[in-house]
Amino acid sequence: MTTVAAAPPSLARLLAATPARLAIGRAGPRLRTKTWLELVADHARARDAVTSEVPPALVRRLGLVEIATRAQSRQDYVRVPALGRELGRGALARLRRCRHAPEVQLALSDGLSSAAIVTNGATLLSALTRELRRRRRRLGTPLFVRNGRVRVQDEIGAVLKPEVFCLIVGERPGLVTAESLSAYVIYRPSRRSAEPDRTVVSNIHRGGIAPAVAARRLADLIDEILRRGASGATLAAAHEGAARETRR
Amino acid sequence: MHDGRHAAAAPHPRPPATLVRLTARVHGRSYRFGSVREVLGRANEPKSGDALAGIGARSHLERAAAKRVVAELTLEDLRAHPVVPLDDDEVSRVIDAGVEERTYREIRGWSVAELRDWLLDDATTAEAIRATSRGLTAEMAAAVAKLCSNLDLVYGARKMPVRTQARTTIGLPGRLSSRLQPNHPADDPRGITASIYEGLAYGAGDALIGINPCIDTVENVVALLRLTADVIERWRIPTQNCVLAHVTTQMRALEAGAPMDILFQSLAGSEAGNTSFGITVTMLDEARAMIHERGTLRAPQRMYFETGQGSELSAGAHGGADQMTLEARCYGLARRYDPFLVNTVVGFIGPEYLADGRQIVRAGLEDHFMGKLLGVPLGADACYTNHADADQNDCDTLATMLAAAGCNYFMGVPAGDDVMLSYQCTSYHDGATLRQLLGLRPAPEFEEWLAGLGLMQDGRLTARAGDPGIFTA
Repeated sequence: MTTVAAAPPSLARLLAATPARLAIGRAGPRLRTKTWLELVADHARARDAVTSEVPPALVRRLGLVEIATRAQSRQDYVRVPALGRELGRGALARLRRCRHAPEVQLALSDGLSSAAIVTNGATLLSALTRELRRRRRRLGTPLFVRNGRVRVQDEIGAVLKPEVFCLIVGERPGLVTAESLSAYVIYRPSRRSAEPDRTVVSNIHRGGIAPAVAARRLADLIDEILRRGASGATLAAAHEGAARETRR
Repeated sequence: MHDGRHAAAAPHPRPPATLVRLTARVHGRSYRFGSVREVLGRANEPKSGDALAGIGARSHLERAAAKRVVAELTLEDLRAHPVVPLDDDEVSRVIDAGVEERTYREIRGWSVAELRDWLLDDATTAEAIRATSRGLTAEMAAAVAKLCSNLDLVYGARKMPVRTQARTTIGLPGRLSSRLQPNHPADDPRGITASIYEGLAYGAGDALIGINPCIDTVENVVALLRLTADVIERWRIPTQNCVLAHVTTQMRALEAGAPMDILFQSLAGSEAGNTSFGITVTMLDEARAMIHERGTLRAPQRMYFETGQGSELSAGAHGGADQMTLEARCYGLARRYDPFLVNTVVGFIGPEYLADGRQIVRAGLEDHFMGKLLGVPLGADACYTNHADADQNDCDTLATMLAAAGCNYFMGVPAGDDVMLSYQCTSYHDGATLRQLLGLRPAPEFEEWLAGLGLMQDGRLTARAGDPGIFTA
């Protein structure tokens, strides 16, 4: 077995700059047992994040109204993307009981990582809610969308008609983290909305953008979207235009 | 777009319209298919993407019947019925115009079954296959692969070596190369350098040092090209550099004077798919002219393409064609550019298109076989994402089979875990292991360099190998 000697300072500085698994040595040409078992454990965590359910008890504890999509299992959800974009049984009736036409609609969805919702979703949602209340925003009934894809935002938006909709979704897990969230923010979503209409903040987890930091950033973004009446590519273009004005 | 149409529109002699037989009887049941395109889809081994598109077989027996129909199609039938019509699609026109007519005339009456038997025949040499290759279209390569078992695909591809040349020679029999892929989630130059040193210490990097950038801007691409060119120059490494940004970003970087050896782009197998990637044939023609004019490498082959089954369907650009045939058409398009490297990123697309390890392994073997048959220097990114029902064991299986099949190169990533793209593929360790397991060596120029540093002796890693500290001491 070959282990790598304690790295000299010049190498240590390089190694410290990356999360990649380096200077890990070898057993013959293969990985050492320790490295291999770490990879096995990290992959197991990622797979469980994809295949497991967000506990209904958590949804209740957060006071969220649960909305179903047409994907009835995690396997359906992963294999057939269209199912996760459409509203499932009973969803419409539940949405009609929610607050109509709020200023800001918030929702969590498991996406590809239930672990991200369990670990960081609650923290982000409560921090964002506090931040928006402080700014006196009129909030909708908070939702949990089970087996949801990003475009389900347009279906829900068409019913609830919020000014701004922020959907917080579990990202596809990697081996470094399985607990990362993305927030998709859109101005006046409808069935005619497309991908470029959304502004995305991704990499929200403890080792990336911390949930508390993300909550402030999202609240600022929502303020700006409401002020300019635009999100996504239109908002970015408005930004560039403003930057040009300033330079003049 | 209209320029692309013009660029690709060479006159092509149309084969006479023939009556194609699209029926078969299997175990007392009759099956009838509506078109060549339909039967090619139904003949595939199970793939979730074909099911998603509604074009895969609806029963096992239907699949068996479809394979029988495909076996009896002639090569002429397949040329006359590309899965996307010539009038609608510049990829179809590029491939058709590239057919060597003299070679095609000799084989156009062969059935697909005859082509399969001929390829596998003991009397058929690598040279004979190479000579025949230019008479084939992508649909023919896909059709014959649909009649092959996994071991047929391994054994057949082994008979089709495709050699390319830059600072290193890739694809020689008895050699296995690797693309060193030192990605970083924020493109940090120190982190990238650390990953390069680790890879070199394991003998990785003879095909390419190629970074997938996190930030697709000209400034960043220029910086990463300088970083890799500096490492190559400082250690006098016989290899080449590449930063896998969009082709237009790379062209701006070339104009800005960046030291670029190899120019990269992802390809799709239909014009609509390429439109979704933001490319046209005209744009690729211009890119090739520019890398030959301004690139730092003095070699005839300077382009690199990545492909993968399912990207057309993912973009809603499949036009009713199956993902495997569309993949073969990527190689048909690649052929126009005489590329240095081409690889399928087979398991990256996700479970909607390749559901599990079994489907990923199958697709990887198909892609390598089809590419080599079309004369393209196929390597492979044997890989999977964490939402697919697959794991590192599947990656091991595919890489081992492909190494036995004579695959030109694999990716080399620290411990197989790409911390930028968040997927898993082959590690630096895997490249070294496959070489030692199967008696394969790095590219000859690179092997000499490794031996000079004392990292390799007689084609095996030395005790010194595996320590990145040798490059910082």
